[in-house]
Amino acid sequence: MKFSFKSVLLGTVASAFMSVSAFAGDLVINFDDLNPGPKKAFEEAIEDFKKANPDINVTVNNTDREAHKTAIRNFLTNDAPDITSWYPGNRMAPFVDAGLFEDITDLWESDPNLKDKFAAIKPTMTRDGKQWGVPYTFYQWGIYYRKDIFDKLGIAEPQTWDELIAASELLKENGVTPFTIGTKFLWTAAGVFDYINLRTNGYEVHNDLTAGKIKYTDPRIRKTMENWKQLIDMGAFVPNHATMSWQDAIAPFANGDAAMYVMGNFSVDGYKTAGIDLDNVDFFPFPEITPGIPRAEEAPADAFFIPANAKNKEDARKFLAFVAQPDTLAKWNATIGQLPPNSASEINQDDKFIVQGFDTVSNAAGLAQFYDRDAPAAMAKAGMEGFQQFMLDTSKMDEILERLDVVQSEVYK
Amino acid sequence: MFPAPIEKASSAKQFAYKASLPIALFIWLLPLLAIFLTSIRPAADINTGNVFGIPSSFQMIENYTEVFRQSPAGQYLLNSLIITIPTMIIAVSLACLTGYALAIYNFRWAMPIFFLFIAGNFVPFQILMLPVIDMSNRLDVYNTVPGLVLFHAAFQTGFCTLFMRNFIKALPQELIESARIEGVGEFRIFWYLVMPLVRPAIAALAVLIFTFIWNDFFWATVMLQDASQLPITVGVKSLNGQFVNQWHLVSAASLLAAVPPVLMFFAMQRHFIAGLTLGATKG
Amino acid sequence: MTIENTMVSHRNETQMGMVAFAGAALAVCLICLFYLVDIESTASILGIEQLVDARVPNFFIRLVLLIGALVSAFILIINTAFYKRNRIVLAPWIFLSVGLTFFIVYVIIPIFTSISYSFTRWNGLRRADGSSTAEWIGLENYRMLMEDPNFYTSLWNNLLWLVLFMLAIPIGLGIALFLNQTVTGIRIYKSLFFFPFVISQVVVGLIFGWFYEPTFGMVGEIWGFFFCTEETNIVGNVRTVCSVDPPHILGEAKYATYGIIVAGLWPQIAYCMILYLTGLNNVSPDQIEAGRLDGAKGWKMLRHVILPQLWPATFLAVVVTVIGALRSFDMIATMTSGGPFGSTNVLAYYMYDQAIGEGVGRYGYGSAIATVLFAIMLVYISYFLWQMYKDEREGR
Repeated sequence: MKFSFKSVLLGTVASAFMSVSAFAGDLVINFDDLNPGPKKAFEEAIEDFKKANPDINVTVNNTDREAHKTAIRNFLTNDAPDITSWYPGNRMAPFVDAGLFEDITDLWESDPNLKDKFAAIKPTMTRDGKQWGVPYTFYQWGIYYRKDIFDKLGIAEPQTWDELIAASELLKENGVTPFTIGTKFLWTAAGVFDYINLRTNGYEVHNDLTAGKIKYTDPRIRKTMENWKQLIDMGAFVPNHATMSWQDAIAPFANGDAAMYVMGNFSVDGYKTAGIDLDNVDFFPFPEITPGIPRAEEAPADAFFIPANAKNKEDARKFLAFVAQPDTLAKWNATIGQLPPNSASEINQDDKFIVQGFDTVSNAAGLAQFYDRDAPAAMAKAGMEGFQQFMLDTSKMDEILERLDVVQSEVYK
Repeated sequence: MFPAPIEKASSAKQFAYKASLPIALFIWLLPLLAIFLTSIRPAADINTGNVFGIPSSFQMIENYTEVFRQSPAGQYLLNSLIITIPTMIIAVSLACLTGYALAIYNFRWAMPIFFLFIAGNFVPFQILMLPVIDMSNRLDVYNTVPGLVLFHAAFQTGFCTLFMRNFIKALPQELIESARIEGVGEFRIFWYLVMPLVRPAIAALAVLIFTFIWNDFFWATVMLQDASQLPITVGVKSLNGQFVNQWHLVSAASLLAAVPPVLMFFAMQRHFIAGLTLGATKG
Repeated sequence: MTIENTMVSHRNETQMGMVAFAGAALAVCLICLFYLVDIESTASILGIEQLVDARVPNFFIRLVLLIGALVSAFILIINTAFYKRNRIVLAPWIFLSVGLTFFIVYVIIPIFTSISYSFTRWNGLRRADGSSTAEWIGLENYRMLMEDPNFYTSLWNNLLWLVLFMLAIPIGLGIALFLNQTVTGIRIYKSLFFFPFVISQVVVGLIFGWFYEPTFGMVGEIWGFFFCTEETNIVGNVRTVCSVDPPHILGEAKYATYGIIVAGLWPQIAYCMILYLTGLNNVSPDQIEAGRLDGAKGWKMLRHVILPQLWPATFLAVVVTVIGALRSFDMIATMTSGGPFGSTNVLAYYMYDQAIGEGVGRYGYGSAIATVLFAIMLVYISYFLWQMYKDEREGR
């Protein structure tokens, strides 16, 4: 994340103007990514929208992602923009339940793009049988690995759990830690958990668990943990993960001390920054564990919503329809190196990660949003702390799972 | 004087004492020295493990300008000032009024109100956090610098009142009595008689509040969200996430955050210590 | 300075009446404006809406109107005959009004509001019309606390902080005794020893965080010197291999809290030291002499002559240390964010984390934690107030 003095200044000016009371034809949009790539893609899309709709006066307020997470709780009530970015799945649930988001089922039914081209992602935009937002990007998760190390040791991309374990053992014998990870901010551990769970038990179990319908002490979840334990106990993860962020964890990967990373596609940029030649990095989907289980993937989406208190809902719908167009999404996601949710969008054929990612998610039997977006925040927090603790000490498994049951029984009341 | 003055000891002991002073200081400030050295090192030193030794080259200017170039550190420092100075002025002025009222007038409520200020001053921040957020929200000042300043000023009024009241209480009360007998109005007594006498207390409070507010992290985290408004304490923490494994830049930014209160402390040392140790000699 | 001028000019009755009347009229006008004025539309009538950042000035125009109304009301009051007769009774309330109102609104009332939140389940959201989504659940939050292992971890850590933070007092006293000499340059030494207290806790947290870092930090360096060697890895880069893994002080549940407390002690010791230095300055030389004549020396002298005289400094040191220990938040936020897996949480941080951290949004539950913390603090506040009360009594 880089700021320049100028961008901060511009941000200040923008926020000063944003709250000026809106006239008809004014469209205020709150966005939440100041990172250079996403910022550029968003600004380009806004320019295109302005060209297409010269009568609409668009005002943009772009803030830092973390700040946005807190600020949205307040501006939805007090000072609502006409469009705001936010996340689908359980993350939108509190706002939907408090009546702070506009129901846009009408748009999903009438707009040709939303009607037909968003089938894979529609369920995550749905709550109470209605649709509440329009996704503009999503990205695949999977295993990023050091191709040069794999080649040197003659390891092929593992297709099954046994192959993964065998590869890990071979790496260990050669002094390479199989996986790097940084669990200081917890969610990275949830990525590993989700994948082992999706592969051990499948999509339904993931959904039922995050919806509070299955207990954590359920034998199926125990099986997931047992599989994970196998990896942890063999020393497959870097030892000091609890003090590292996901960016810190790139360092051993870059240095060649660790060979694999269970991550989202946004990390590719981090590999570049850390000085890894991208020819030496490649991607494979998380291997099969229980044979015959349909392959579901983690593919978190980001979306736009209309606040219930928006002043200009008509133009806001126009903007959402504009975003849903295949061209808009193709251009946008080409800039940020992610996947367009519209299945009719072109993708960048030169980017091997995008090509593989698109292939992975479009053939998936189901798309999960990620543990901390599918589960309510309070559950996710406790769950991820439990996963971190488990990674540090697998002998605490029963204790952790029992505690999560208690939290679950309180959170889903 | 206790312990016995070292001048009375043997010259060997005196020498040992004088020699031990810088050694003790060196150990005491070791963390700070280490971080200072790190802040003037080139990045390569840290990666090659030269953390203790002499930097391979001195990059003080480069590293510090890099911090300003790569991050809005200048903006953060400015924001800190914008938050700190108005708070200082409001809290100290209000405390002059309240402290005066509680020290000079012997009314029945003086003691309970005084205790209310003291007790409020000690409550944990967390019990105030959610209502203050909710209230600021409804007053439309959440996520604005003035909203934060108002809260800070109100909260610091507690400590400042405690300080002012005790200071004014220690002034000779006969002065005020005789002014009253001569028919001078209450507000004139306050302004022309008492205010000039409490100048040292105002100075002490001003430096203390400056330091407290400058170093505040919690309330700024809670009350401000826009990156463009954050003070340096919050800014420096977010830089820690931004400069991944670039400890030389994190160190430089941290030291920058520490400079203004340190300058304030050295410039106003006597007042500062007088403020902090209020009550340490009473009894 | 309006007050001053009016004070001077109230020599005759008619003039006084007129000023009072003007003050009353102005106060009424401003209060009406305060309630009635619609600043946004006024701004648009005047064509200055571009200048008005609607959020802040609205509030500030109101604030200015309110202060104006207050000042006018004071002018009104101090010009009445009633005030003339009762000025000794009324004057303190006028002096107190603004500061006290401010303090009550921002500090005293929120305490009770928080306690009332703790009986609800609330995610902090208000509906589109501004009404709260809170739901009354009685003591449910407290029942949940009783079953929450994280709560007990936090409570235990709070206790650790309290007990270990007390070390700051003897260590501070030790350093104060060490520095209480008059050799040349001692003042600079005293200032430099006090230095850590002036620095923000965030910075101290960052410094120590780096200190404890097992690869790049001091701990890593020292460890590397004894136990680690460098070798070339599979892709030809240098890597460090240690015969014994370096301790991840902030990454392991069993050390992390201690690591943070040590960092917290550093500035706290400096504070206690300065309290004792001031106290030592005021120890009566006569009593020391008397003690010497009685043959008291060293430890005995300290124990029986000096420490009793240092009681006010000790009392203050205990108070600030307890408050400091219970308020520990900045360091935890900077060094571990409560991790690993919540093992370094204290009530203050756990409350923040549950209420607004990472979008968890449990306002009710968070308030229950805050209420418990407040209850603990209240014990100390009461003790402190009681001591002050005794002092005040004796002072009279």
